[in-house]
Amino acid sequence: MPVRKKINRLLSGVLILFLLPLAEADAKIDLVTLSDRDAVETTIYNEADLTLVRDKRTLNFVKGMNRLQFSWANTRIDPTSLSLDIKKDADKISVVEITYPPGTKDVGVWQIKAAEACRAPVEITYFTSGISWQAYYVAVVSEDRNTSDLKGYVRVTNHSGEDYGNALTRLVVGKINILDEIAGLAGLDHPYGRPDLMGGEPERKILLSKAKQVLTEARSMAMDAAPARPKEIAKEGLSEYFLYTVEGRESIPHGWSKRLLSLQADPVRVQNLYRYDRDRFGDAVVRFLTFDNKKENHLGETPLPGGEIKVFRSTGPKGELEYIGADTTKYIPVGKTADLNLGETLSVKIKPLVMAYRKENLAFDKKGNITGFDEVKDYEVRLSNFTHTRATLEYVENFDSPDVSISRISLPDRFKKTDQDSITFTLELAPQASETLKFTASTPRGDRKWQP
Amino acid sequence: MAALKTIKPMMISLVFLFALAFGLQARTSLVSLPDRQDAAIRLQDREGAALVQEKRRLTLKKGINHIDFSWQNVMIDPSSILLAPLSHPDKIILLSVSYPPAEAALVWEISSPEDLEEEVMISYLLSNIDGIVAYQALADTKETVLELRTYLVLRNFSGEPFNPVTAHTSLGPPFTTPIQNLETKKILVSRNPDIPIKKIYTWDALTMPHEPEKSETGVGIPVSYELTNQKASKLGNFALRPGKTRLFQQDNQGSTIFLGEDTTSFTPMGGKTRLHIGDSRDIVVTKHRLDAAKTNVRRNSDGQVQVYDETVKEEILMENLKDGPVTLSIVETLPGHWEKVDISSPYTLKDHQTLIFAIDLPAKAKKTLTLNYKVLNIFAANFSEFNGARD
Repeated sequence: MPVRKKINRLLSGVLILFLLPLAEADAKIDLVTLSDRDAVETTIYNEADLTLVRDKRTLNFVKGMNRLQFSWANTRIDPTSLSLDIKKDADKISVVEITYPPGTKDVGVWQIKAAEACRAPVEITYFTSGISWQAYYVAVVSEDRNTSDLKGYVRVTNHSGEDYGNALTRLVVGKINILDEIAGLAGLDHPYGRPDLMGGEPERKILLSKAKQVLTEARSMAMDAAPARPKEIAKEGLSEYFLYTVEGRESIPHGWSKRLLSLQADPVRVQNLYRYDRDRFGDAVVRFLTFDNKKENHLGETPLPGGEIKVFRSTGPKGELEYIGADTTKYIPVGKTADLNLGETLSVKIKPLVMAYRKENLAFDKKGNITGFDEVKDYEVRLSNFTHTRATLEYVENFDSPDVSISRISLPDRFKKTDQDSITFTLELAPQASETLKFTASTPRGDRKWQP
Repeated sequence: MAALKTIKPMMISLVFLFALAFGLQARTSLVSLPDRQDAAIRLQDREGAALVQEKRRLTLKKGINHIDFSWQNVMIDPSSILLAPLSHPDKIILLSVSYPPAEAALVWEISSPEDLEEEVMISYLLSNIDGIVAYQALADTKETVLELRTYLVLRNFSGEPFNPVTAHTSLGPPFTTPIQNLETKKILVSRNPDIPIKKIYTWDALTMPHEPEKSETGVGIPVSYELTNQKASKLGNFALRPGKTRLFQQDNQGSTIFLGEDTTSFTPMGGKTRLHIGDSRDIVVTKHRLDAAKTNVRRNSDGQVQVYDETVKEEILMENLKDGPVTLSIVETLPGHWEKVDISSPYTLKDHQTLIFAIDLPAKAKKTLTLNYKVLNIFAANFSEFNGARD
């Protein structure tokens, strides 16, 4: 259809909107009014492949029934999410229904009843997949390793098949409940499936080849006026989520990514924590960098969304850096501590050793058969800090029985029984310092666990 | 009325068929089935099939009339097909129904006392046409009320177009709409604003991790909206049928965000439904078992343990990192024969083993719930299947 092609070119996009008089319902589609977008808003989720698009337009309605056709191609729109709201004169204009006509795909037709001819703003909303955002952090730890400069970024990537030019961009931090993947719904031959195909399950295939094609169709990036300063990101809490709104408008064409600064905090006090926990990390010391998401730490305004963090250390006044490691943080609520696992290290040593082993309180039944005993181990844990800075060392031991009892603890003020079968020692060590911890673990075996 | 494509009379070919099958008698005549005048569809509260009722006007002759009803490329349950005379129900007698071999058809044998024009209602169950329900909800910024829009999604893959059809559903008054074969239509059937909602955070000890700090990914506490299907809650006009519900919330920028989606369960009038919107990671719950002492150990003459009690001490640490207060529902399951020693907060019993605590957590507050209870009469050997949950 030549008209359609022309529109496609005009919009340089793939979403097409037609307003059709009802009388033309059975005829070939004739274009009556095509309105450009007044504004577009994208609300992008990071823990689900879902973006809520709000497309604002002003349309002319004739008195009576109006048909408004919305069609798309090569995009990943969920047709069941299409919704149209009249933003003015809602008492005169009402949306009667939306139809997904037979023999078509990626088309929705609204029937809109107008009491009189008028012009009214409308908002069309829908879900698309293929647009995502991730948080990304860079921490530069001071030479003395006690503070850090922390920068947070958000990176928006558009693989949706549609260019979103000049859009208000909003990012949602949160874990929403989703029943169906939007990419799957976008690939269905029939929006709500077919009754004869058990809820349409066999149709829920993601059109991979199509998606690949979409992914490779990067277009030239729209040239935005260069801002004189990084854009501000306004943050607001809503329900259980956090909403980041990027200042001004953003153009993110299909195939492109854009990174924006979302957070800058300096100095952030950091703690160098070295953990030994055989159950979690094996027989190795793992280095953690921790910091509190609190106001006194120049943070704490908002939760920190989960994302990759790269940690460097400043080694000179001219920006010389040393790469320390990388981790992926989980969501850090306000008031909680970020715990970055920077991997195994040899510069701190924590070595638990069993220095004595005894079997005590042997128990026998009436026939003289052995029924139980206490297994007693004297532990010695040698801790050494070979780094040049003060370090906090944490030693966790998990026992195989909830009946274990701990005694003869050498540093009781550093000791905590975390639960019935695990203990933690936490202590600070000066650079190049060493310490030895001692304790005895007695575990009743067999019938001994029944005896007081 | 457009001519039917798939359900139609097959008069010409069947004249010969009936001539053979029934051996035409003088008073027997074949009546073709005329086009439908009016069609209604009663959508079932289940997916996949609908009851179609259509009116047709028959020209009957005095005596025995054979009426052929046949269909192609549609799935009609033959045993569901009914014919009811409307104009002269006292005069018209349906004598029999015959099913020709290997054909999607049937023949009604009707006796008429005179030449009559008769309006009949034909009913049948048609497959692959149904109406499923979808909801869209919009909560206010404070999450105290929401507007619920109920949509009927009419899916016609039956092979038969309806131009138009009157659809009867359990969702409100009937409406008339055309629906083509292979067409899907989404129709707003009701819009209920200002429905009060209650926001509920639930931590269930059976399903949630006990040490979220050790989890590689952030642990979220499920958050739901609860609403009641009753008049006082601006609902209660009909039972809520199961359907996907997409929930949005107004934001402070004059726009909305998507909160999440859940399936509304069947909610009769007066019933409550909960919609899981998403998870909160600003409420942190950690549970530790501090002790489980074995007491009152009883042995047999061989000294083997037969029965014992266990005195358990557990603590649940709850932290609200949000700026506002929340009510947290803690669900704790204590299977078997147990008795309370000291439990630090009041609770209600959902059943003998399920304790529900409603904990008010002010903004930025921490609370500890301690559970000290005895599990009695734990069997060490025989009857150990009686130690756990007993429904």
